[in-house]
Amino acid sequence: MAKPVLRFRPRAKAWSPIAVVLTMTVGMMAVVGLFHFIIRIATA
Amino acid sequence: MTINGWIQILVFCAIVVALVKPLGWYMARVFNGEHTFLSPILRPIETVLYKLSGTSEREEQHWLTYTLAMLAFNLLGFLALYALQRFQAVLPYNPMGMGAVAPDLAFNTAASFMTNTNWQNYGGESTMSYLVQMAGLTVQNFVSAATGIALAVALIRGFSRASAKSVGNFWADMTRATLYVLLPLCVMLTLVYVARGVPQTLSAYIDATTLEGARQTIAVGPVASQLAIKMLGTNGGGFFNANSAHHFENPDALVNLIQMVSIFAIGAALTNVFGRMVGDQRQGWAILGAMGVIFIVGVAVAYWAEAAGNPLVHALGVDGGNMEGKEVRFGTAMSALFAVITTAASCGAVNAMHSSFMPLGGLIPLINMELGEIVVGGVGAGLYGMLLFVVLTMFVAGLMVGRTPEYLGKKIEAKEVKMAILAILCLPLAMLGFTALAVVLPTGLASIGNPGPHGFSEMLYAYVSGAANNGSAFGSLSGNTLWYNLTIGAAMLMGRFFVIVPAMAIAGSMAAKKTVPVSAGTFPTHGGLFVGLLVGVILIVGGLTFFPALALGPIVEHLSMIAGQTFSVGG
Repeated sequence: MAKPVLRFRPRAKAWSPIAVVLTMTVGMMAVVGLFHFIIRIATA
Repeated sequence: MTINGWIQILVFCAIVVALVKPLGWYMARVFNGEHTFLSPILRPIETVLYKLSGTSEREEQHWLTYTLAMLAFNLLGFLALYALQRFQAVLPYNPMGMGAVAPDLAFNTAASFMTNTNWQNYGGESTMSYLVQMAGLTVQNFVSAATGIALAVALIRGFSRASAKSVGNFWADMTRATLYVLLPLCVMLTLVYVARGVPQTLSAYIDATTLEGARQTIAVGPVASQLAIKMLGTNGGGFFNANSAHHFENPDALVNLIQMVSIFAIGAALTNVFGRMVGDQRQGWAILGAMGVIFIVGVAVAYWAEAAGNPLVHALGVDGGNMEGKEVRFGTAMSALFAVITTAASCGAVNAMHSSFMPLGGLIPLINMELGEIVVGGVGAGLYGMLLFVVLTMFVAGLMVGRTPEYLGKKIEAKEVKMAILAILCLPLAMLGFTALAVVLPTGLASIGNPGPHGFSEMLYAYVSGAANNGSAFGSLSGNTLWYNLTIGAAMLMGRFFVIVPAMAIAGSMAAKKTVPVSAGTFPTHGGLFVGLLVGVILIVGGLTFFPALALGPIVEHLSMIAGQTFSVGG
């Protein structure tokens, strides 16, 4: 089992926890955008 | 009640049970990080997300870090959704020129969708632009559901691991829940809905001329895509104000069946994921069995009440069941079944108006939500809610025999019991506390649509629905006021996070424990005795907590109805 850590983002020190949250939020919006894009193509 | 009605109910149950093992197998592989048939397509997207955010799926998190990551992610989602609503007038994809949403309503809506509640104090087609619907509400539909699944998986790891300091990685669990579970199923469901006639368009509303020559605006939009995640993610927020009673959002009996199955599918399958991850699938079936007992009893009572109808109406020479507030294409059986499903899970979608149910028919949705929606429940939320009751049940069982309680080889000690009680007590605090305030304040009473016990039920239902993160409305309460927007918003936040944090504390505590070998004195938790005890604890805790409030609302309304007394506006 991997070593547990008490940090959001342990590997790249330059990124802050806020950046992880921001990136993941935008990433999830992009995934939902992908969902709508797939539906748009499929129903065109 | 009819044979036909019961056959439809049993068909629904059979489909859900048939889905438990295959979907549970698939999800267990997903959350164990194993290869699935969708990995060739989705793995690159997943990897890109990890790289862009700088996180790693292999870095495990302590329960506190996991919880803080979840809280930060939800806070940002809340702020983003609030901002989208406030600025929608100047943002694109707003062909109907919707204005900015009022601050208190925007707060309520943002809290509602972020907590997977989807309580709606607005009419979707008259308030929200397409951008808000798709980039705000639908995104939260996905991520709030994914958050629930991730938390349930983290809690499962707490029970399945021994002497461990970590419960998984929130970002990996949430990403996988979205990409591998919700996204593919939603694509499939959306296409089915479109094929059945549900609209999916970004065009403006349609202006039509009726046969009488009147002008009518017909609302359309990206309905099918929102419908898919609304049910699958147990969100419940409808594109239209009438929700799944609207013919565009639920056009026929087949779509109605698919919607009901999709509400239960993931929640039921998570019990199998639990069984697989703890290494004994019987444990998952036992939990599903306890859920099934409560569910079937609820369906039977609600269906009986609605099919029996109103004796005061019968006395006027009108026979039949109670069809007020119901769609003829669904009838009493499917309306009652839908109501029980949507409140057993924390969905909140409706295909009939619950306020128009018979008093005992409306009692069942209330009880389902008051118990914390642990019958399958919201995706993830149902399982972790049920596991809190399992902790309590094992504590009670331990008291009975004078032995330290154990569950799955882990000793349940004071910390776990305290956390479980804390989580279980926060719901009645929000539900009953806010209802008590609303009852004594003029601003609370001003919104009710009916006097007497029905009016009390309207207020109770609003706070129960909010705190349980259900989101269904009783129907007669005018909720879009400053008081209700703020207090129901607060109830939703309490009901979500005051349960999650203690549940995650239990996950961390259980994960750190050593496993105790099974002995002759170990209480088996995969049999009928355990199921019976679990159901008993749930009903006794719920009964003791909520019976007085229920007696003031639907129960006294039922007794009054038998005595010939009704409560209506001006009557």
